[in-house]
Amino acid sequence: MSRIRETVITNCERKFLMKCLSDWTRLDGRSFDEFRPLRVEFGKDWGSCYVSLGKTRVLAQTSCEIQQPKSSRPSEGILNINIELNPLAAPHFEPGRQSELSVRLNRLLEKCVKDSKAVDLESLCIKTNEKVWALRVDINVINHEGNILDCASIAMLASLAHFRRPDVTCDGEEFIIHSYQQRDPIPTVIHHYPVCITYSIFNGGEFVVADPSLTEEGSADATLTIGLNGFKELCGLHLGGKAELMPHVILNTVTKATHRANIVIEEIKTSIKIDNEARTKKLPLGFHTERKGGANSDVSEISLHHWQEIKKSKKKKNKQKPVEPTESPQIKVIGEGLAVHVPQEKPDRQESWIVDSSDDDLMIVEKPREQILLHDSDSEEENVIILDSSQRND
Amino acid sequence: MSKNRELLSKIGLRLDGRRADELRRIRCKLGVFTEPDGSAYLEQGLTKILAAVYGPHQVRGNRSKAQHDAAVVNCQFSMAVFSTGERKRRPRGDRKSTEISIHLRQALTAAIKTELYPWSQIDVYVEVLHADGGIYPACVNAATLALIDAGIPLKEYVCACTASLANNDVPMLDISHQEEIIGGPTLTVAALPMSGKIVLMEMSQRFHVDHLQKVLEKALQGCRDIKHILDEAVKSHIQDVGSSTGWANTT
Amino acid sequence: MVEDVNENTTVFPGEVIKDVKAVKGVTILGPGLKRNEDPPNTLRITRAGKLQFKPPNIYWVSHNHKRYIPKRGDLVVGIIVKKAGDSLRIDIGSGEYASLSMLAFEGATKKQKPDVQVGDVIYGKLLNAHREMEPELVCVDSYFKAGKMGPLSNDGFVFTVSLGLVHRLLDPENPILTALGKVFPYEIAVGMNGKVWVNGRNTKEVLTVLRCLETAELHDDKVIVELCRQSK
Repeated sequence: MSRIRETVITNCERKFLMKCLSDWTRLDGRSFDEFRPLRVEFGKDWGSCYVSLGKTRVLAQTSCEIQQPKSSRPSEGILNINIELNPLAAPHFEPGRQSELSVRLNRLLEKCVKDSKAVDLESLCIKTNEKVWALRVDINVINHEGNILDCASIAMLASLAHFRRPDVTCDGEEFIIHSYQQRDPIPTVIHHYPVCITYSIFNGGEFVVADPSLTEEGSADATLTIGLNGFKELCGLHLGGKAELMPHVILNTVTKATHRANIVIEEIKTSIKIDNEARTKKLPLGFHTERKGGANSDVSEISLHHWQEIKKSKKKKNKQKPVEPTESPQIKVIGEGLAVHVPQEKPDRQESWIVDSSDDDLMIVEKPREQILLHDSDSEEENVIILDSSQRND
Repeated sequence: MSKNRELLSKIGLRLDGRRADELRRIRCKLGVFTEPDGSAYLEQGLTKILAAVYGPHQVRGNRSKAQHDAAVVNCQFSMAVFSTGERKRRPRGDRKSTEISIHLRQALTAAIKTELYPWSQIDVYVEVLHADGGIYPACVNAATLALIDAGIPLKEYVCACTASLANNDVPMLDISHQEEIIGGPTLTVAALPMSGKIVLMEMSQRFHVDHLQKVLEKALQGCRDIKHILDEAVKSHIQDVGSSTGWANTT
Repeated sequence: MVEDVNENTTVFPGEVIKDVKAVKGVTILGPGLKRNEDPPNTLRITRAGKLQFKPPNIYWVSHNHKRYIPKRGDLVVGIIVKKAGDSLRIDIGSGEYASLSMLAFEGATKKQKPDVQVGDVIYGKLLNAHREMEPELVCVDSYFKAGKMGPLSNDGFVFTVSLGLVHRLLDPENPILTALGKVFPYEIAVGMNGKVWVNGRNTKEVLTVLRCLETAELHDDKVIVELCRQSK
């Protein structure tokens, strides 16, 4: 098999996107400053966090171990951040190799959290010059639909804030690590919550679009990533791409981002609170509890909703009722936390392969003359086998 | 913020005796090597950089990288193992160097008229001999000079400069290593100084959003100042080269 | 084990169909089926999906794929990814890029080549699709006429849908495209490879088509038709 490459953004996608932007719309019906829906969920373990931003999905896990501190900073703990782009997320990501994208993302996340001193590293010290906690955040990108960075930064922060390390006591020379059952685990001290907020910039700063999707990211002139915390403090800023920007565009965008940062931080805090309450009440934990129904069910409703919105604005008629997706797949609950996605059987519709000649004036599809396309013995897979059922002996 | 006070004394002098809006001394020379198509040496304070440019030439190595409508700019940043206080284990390949390489490429691609050389490649090699803060901006400035020496068409100079914020109020220009260590945010800007357009911007640590504007303006001012210094160097270099062929005297 | 061959029975890999219908001892198999040796004269399912049967003797398993396998004669929408001399490399969503000669456009000669750029979208026909060779596209029919084939205008929009939806859309009896057409006029090219090119009078209408096909991916035709009827 040939190497899988990144799909090319076509000229017409680019042109259409620009046309959309000049009409002040976006491909997915969002407004320029609108972000995709954000969801933060926690797993059973401390520090295991799943964040979805639209269809971009990221899983983060914080872990800890005891290490010797760096000689330059003997009384500080160590924080490592590692983002993994595996081919699960997008076909052009190569496993195990440090691509440019992963270096860039990694450095931005490091700058956002480490350089701004969001995590109190001194509290991670067990004994100066000998033993400190080393926290490690592993971020796995599960699905890439644009704007990995925002999603990853939220996941990283939520994971760090959610994480608790086991308690350690010292009796003379020996260090004892207590299990979670023996002593309550200790949460990490976080001074402030810095999150990354990304904007795509088109046409030399004329259009600034929040939370870019994959297509938007691909055809944008530049991306501006702003790290911000709840106190309106900048914690890292990056302008990448090939745009030449006037300074006022950047300043305006930064002002816009402050509002968004507060919303995101609030979302992280509330979801941690909800999770903590669930833990104290001993409710079932883990990822499966929150998601009911198939992966597609929520998506379908969103698209339908957007579609209706567009229709309304176009026709300026408001009389249509929200259409119940009567023929939609059903969800059958099998057991606790389990459900199946059962597609509705459609016996009336015969799935046909054959493109027949028709009077349909809308289709500009060439009408193939052959009625059956099965007679294609040289195709890659669709072989035709003639099965001889007549027995030899009759 | 008690540490921050030391960045700028009461009479407005910095640790190395500069004023807040003063650049470090920049000394530079074009055409220091014979082998590359263009080369330059630049000193910014104690930071010393060598830059060499090859190309434009045919795309080497991975042919599929070639672009049908523009030249590929390939940048390699490396730091000599003796350039820092602690001996570096390897000159390149770690995340920070890779990041600088990426950023260098971004800034230079914005300045070079790449569309003139489809299917070709321009190599820029940058070596840090002595690191004393503001490595990235010094690299950009040195690479610009090397590109000019190589005669590669540029839209205009691309200059980079850092700026910081002292005492949570006063913006400072061109941060040295000492000031980096003490703390305080660093904003790095690479810009096309004539049109005032920003091609790359980056910052670390934190400061309040309201200060961004003045720090950014200060950094841009620094870029413009650097441009004047580079201008002088280029002018004298051109005259030097010209005098040997004789045409400089005819005008 | 499937004893009774019905249309639209959901089948799974490894199942065996015993009661095979044949005409003059011949049965034609489509994708997802293999001839079974033991017991003889039975069929083994190799893909999950719905078993389809077309009288008198054609069997295949239909399933909503995402991966496109090139097939000779398919009309596809492709993206030019590279220009190399006289031939173009086209991404048609298959494992390998397809090649398209610059001379395979209507009226093209050695001196007069079509004006296409990398990133442009073309609508063409697969001339050749062998498992061991790279697929070959043409933009002319056997009379050297382009018909509807050739480069598609850059004003439209290209997106990818599942192959199942493509088969549905290309069914002449399918009401989705017609119903949409009654709301507003638009132009569409549906490639067998799942890539769809749409153009309309304005961006809003193109986006509506896009949204509509996204919805059709998950819902029945009736939902779309109903929506179109209401918005009229």
